[in-house]
Amino acid sequence: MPTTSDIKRYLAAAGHGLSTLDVIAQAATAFLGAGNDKTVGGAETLLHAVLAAIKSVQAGIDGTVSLETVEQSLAEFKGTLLGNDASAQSALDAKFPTGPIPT
Amino acid sequence: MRHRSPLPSVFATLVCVALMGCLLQSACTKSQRVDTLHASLVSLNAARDGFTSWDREHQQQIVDQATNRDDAVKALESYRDRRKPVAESFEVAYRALALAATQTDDPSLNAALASSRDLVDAVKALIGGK
Repeated sequence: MPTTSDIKRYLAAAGHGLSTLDVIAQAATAFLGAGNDKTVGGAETLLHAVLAAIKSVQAGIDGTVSLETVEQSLAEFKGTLLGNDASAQSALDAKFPTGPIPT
Repeated sequence: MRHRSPLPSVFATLVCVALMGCLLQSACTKSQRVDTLHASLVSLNAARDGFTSWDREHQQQIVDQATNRDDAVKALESYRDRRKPVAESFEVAYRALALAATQTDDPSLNAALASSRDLVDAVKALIGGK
């Protein structure tokens, strides 16, 4: 389990433009993306998520916001929703298979 | 029939923390504007990823809980109808952010922040967060 010292070390290494909000926002992403809730994992999981967020920032996030980056983010959102719908449809077909279409 | 995931309350809390955090930075100087826009995009993307994760699990839950195909189809359609306002709010928030990124005036930035507030309300309305 990462300690407070570990996080401080990563923060120091990141060194630039890392706001608390960045960390919280990305930790939330990682935390929820892993399917956790407040009853599972608890502080340890969240700490790991914070560490992952910090590493992500270290890997480099463009500090500027351009029209292209926003459009790409929106496109990813729409694409993911379509993917979710397709996954649900697959699950539906697997659970309730339809018979052959009468000719 | 209303399906609930165990995630809503924590998801809503995290979304609110992420988005309201950037709203608190709305009193911007010119140099803070760039930081605010960046923070808003990071927050919006975090909310997006959290929401899409929840959406995937929620739809799976609907299928898991259904006892026949017709019920599952109806429940999925009903959920997706209720999801539309959230999807539209995300689109509005992204569009507003794009506009604010290409302008230098306060109204465009305030509009972007206001759309984030609307998004929080839309998400909370869908998933029942407090």
